[in-house]
Amino acid sequence: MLNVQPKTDGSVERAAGILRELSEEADDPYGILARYYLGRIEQIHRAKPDWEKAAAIYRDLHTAHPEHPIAQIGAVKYGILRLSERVPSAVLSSRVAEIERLAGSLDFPAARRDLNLALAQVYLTIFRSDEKALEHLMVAESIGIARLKNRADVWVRIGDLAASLGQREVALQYFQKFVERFQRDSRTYTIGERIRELQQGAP
Amino acid sequence: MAIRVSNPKALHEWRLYLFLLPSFLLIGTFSYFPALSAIYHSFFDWQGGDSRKFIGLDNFRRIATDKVLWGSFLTIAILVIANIVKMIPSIVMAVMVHRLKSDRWQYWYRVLLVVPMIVPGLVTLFIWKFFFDPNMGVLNRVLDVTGLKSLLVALDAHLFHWGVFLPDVPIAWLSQPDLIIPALILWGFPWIGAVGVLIYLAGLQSIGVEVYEAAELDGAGPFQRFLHIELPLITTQIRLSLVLLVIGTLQGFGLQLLLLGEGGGAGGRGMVPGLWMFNRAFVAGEFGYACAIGMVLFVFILVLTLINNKYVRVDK
Amino acid sequence: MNWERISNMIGLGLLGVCFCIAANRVMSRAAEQRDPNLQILKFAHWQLESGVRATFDELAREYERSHPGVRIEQLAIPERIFKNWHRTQLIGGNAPDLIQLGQGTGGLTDELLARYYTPISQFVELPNPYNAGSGELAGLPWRETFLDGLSNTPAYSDSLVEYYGIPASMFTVRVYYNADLFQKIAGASQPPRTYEDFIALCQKTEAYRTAEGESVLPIAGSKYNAPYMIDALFASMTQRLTLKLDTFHIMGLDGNSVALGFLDGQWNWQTPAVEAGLNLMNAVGQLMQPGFLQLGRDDALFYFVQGRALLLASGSWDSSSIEAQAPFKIGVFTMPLPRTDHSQYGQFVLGHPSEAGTGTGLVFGLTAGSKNQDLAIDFLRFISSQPGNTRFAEMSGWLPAVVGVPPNDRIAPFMPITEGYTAGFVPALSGFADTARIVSNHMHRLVGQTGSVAEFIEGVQPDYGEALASDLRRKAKNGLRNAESKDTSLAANWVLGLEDNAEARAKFDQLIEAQNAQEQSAYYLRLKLESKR
Repeated sequence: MLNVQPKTDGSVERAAGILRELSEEADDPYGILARYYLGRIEQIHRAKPDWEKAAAIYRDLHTAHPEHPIAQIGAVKYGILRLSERVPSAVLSSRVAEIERLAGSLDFPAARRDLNLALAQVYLTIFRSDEKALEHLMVAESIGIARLKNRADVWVRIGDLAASLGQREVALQYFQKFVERFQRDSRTYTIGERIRELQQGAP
Repeated sequence: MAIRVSNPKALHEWRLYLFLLPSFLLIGTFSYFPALSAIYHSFFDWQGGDSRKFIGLDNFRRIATDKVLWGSFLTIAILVIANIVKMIPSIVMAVMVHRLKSDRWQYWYRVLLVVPMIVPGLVTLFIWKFFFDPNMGVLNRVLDVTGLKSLLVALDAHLFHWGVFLPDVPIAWLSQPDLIIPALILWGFPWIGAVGVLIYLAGLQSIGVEVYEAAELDGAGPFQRFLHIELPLITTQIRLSLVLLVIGTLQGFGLQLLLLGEGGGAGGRGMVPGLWMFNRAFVAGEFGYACAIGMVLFVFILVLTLINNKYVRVDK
Repeated sequence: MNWERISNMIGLGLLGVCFCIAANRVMSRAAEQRDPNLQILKFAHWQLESGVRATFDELAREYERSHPGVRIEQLAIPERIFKNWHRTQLIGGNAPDLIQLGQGTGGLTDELLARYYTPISQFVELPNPYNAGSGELAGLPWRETFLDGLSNTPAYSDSLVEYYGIPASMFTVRVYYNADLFQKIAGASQPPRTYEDFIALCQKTEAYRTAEGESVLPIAGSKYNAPYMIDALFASMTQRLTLKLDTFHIMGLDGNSVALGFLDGQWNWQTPAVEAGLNLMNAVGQLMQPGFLQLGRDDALFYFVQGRALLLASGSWDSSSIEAQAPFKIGVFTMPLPRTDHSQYGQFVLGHPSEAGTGTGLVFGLTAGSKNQDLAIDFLRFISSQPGNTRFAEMSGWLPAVVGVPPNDRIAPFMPITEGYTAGFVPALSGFADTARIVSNHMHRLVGQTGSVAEFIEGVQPDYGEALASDLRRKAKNGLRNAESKDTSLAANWVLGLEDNAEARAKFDQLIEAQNAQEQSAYYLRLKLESKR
C-alpha cells in the first residue's frame, strides 16, 4: 500500500489502518513489524511527517519488546530522530546520554552498529569531540560495516581521529587495513604517506 | 454567422461523424492527454518516474517566490515585443510579392520562400550559432569589413558606455550578458518568415481587383494602398500570426537552449520560462515543479490570447 | 497531356514509390521482430566519437557469428539529447535492452535505477565464461575482473546496494598539443612539466602569433573543454582547504561539507586559497580564444584540429577523433599544476591529484523491460571479457576497463596516475545543479576578455549561498525519498527470514545501514539549513 502510486494521504492512511489493525490483533512478530511500520509512516511516508508520534511509537515498541531485532531497529530510528531535532545544546547533551544508554542495551548487530555510527556523527559535527566519536566508531567497526564504501570511510575516519588523538597504533592499524583493501581509491597515496609519517613517529 | 441546424438534421447522417474519430483520437492522445497529465502532475512531488507524492499546492506556492521564473518573464516580454516588430518584414515582403505584375515571378518568389523551410530547424539554429562565433563567425566578419564594428566601438566608448564593444576584442555575442538579448532579437535576420509571408499572401490574394481600381481612381499611392486597403484586409491573418507568435515565443526555448545552454547563458540573461521549465525537469529532476511552471505558462498564454482576441479587432 | 499534368503524375508516382519502400521497410522490420528464430538485442550509447561505433559494430558482428539467430543493433544517440531520450524511452516502455549509464543520462536516481533497470548482482558474483582461457581471470567473479572492482557508480549503486552496469572503458583528462606547432614555437621536444613552464609556453605562443602574424592561440577553449583546465587549477588551490572542511574526517572531498562550510562561514570568496584559485582561472582563461564560453565541444575541437590553437584540454574519449582529424602530430601531457614549492601558490597545494579512484566508464545497464535479459547478460560478458575488451581497446583506441588488457601506445599516457593526493573542490560543486548554474552564469566575469576576480566575486557572491542552500535542500529531500523507498525491500528481506537466509541477511544489513545513513545525513542537512535561516 505504501508503494501504490500516486502516493496520497489517502493511500498512506489506508496503509496505516491495515497496520494498526495488525498491530492491535496480535503481539507476535507480525504485530511488531506492523508497529514498526506505523512508526515509519509517521516518520517518513506522510507528506507532513510527525516526528513526535513516530518517536513515541518506536520508544513504546522497544520498551515492549527490547529483545526483538525490529524493535531495536526502531530504537535506532528513535535515536536518529532525537539526535536530529533542533534543541538547545543542554537538551541535546542529555539526549545523547539517553541514546548512548540505549545503544548499550542493543544486541542486534545492525541496530547497535547504526546507532553508534549516528552517535559518532553527532560527536563529530555538533560537539566536535573526536575522542567520543572515535569510541563510537570503534564499536561500530567491531560489529562490521556492511557497505564497502562506508567501510572505507569508517576506516579512514578511525585512522585520522586516532592519529589526531595520538593513538598511533590504532591509526596505523586502520590506515594499513585501508591501504591493503582499497588500492584504487584517491586517498590511498595520501594515507600511505600518513603511514610512513606515523611509522617515523610523527603524530 | 453560424447557421443553426436542428438535431435530427444534424444526426441524420451520423455515420459521417465517424470520419472525425481518428482526428479526435490523435488530438486527444498527443495534445490533450499530455496537457491533462501535466495539470495532474503539477500537484505532485514527482521526479519523472513512477513514484509520486501528492503535495497539493506546494509547487504553486514555490512558484510565487521563484525569482528566476519571474525574471524570465521579463526576458520573454522583451522577446515577444521584438518578435511582434519582427513581423513587419514578412508583411512588407508579402505585399511586395503580391504586387509583382508577373504571375511567373510571383510563383518563383513563393517557391524561394518555401525552399528554406525544407532545412530542418535544428540546422538553422546551428548555422546561426556559427554566425555568432566571436572569432570565426560571419556576423563579426561583416561588422569588421563594413566598419560597423569601429562605429559600435566608438559609440560605446564615447556615447553610451555599454562596455561591450571593445577595440581589438571580437564581440562575444552569446557570452556577454548585455549582448544576449540583442543577439536573440537579431536571430533570424532579415526576419522574413516563410509561413507568415504565405499566410499574408493568401489574405492579400483575396482582395478583389476592383478595390485596387477604385483606389487608383481615388489617386491613392502605393503607401496609401498598403495602409488603407491591404493592411486592414489582412488583419485576420495578422491576428492569427500574432496569436501563433505569442504562443510560440512564450512556449519556445529551443533557441536559448542551443545557443546558451541549460542555464540561460551569461548572467542568466537568456533564461525564458520554457527553458526554466526544462531546466527544473531535466537538470534538477523536479518534474512536478516543471509541470506547475507549465501551468503558469499556460495561464499566461491563455490570458494573452484572450486579450489579443478582444482588442485586435477585425472590422470587415 | 500538358507538362503540368505530367509533372504532377511524376510527383505522385515518386510519392507512391517512397511510400511503398517505407511501408515495406516497416513491415519487414515488424516481421523480423516477430520471427521466433531471430533474437534482436539493442544497445544504446552516446559515444559518437571516432572509432567507437565501428568497434561496437565489429564486436557485434563477431558475437552474431558465434551466436546464430541473434542480431545486435547499435543505437548511437547524441549526448546533447541523450538525457531526455533516455527518460522518455524508459517511461514510454520502448527502451532498448542495454543503455549506457553515466554523464549522458544525468542524475540516476535510486527510483530510476530500481524501477527501470535490472540489478545484475547475482551475475557479477559468478565467473565470466568468456574469460575461461584468460589465465588469472578464469575463475574470478566477473566484478573482480574490472580494474576498479566494479565499485564505482554507475556500475554499482551504494544506496541500493546492487550492481547495475558493466563497463567497457575508463576516462581520464589530459592536455593535447599540436606537436609540429610546439616544435616551431618552443623549439623543444618535451612538453611542459610545471605550471611555470606551461605559462611560459603559452606566452611564447602569444609572442609567436605577434611575430609571425599567424592566428594561433595558446589554448582552444569552450564551455565544455575549459573547465578541464581551469577547474583543475582551482581544485589544486583548495586541496588543503578541503581537508580543513573535512568535518567527517574522510580525508577526501565531500560536497556537502564544502557547501555547509561556506554557509557556516568557514570559507568565502575572499579566502586566500579561493582567491588564488580564481586568479589562476582568470590567468589561464585569458589564454583561450575571446568569447570561448559561448562555444561548445565541437567548436574547440575544430579550432585545435585546424591548427588555430596549440593546446586543448580533453578526455581520453577524444583521442581517436583528434588523431583522425588533425593533419599534424599530436602529443599529450598531464595538466601541470602549481607545486608545493611555488612561491605564490605552493602554500595551498598538497600535490598532484591522484587518479587512483578513476572509476570504469562506458557502463551499460540492463533495462528491466528487456525481453532478452539472458542474451543481454551474455553479450555484456562477451564484450567485457579479457579478449573482448582487448579487441575493444585495440580497435577503438580507448582505455581498457578489464584487468590485464594493455592500452594501445597512443592511449597509454591516459592511464590513471595512481600516485597523488586528494583533489580539492571547485566552485561549481559536482551534483549541485543550482550552484553550477549560478557559477556558470557569472563565469564570463572571471575568464572573459575584460574579466577579473573582483568582478566575478561581485557577481557570484549574492546568489551563491542561496544556490548552495537550494541544492542541499534538494539533496536532503532526495535522500529521504531514497530512504523511504527502501522500506519495502527491507520488509521483503525480513520476511525471507534473516536466520536461515544468508543472502537476505547480508542484503538487510546493507540496506538498513544505507537507510539509516541517508536519513541521518538528510536530517543533519535540514538541521544545518534551518539554523542558517
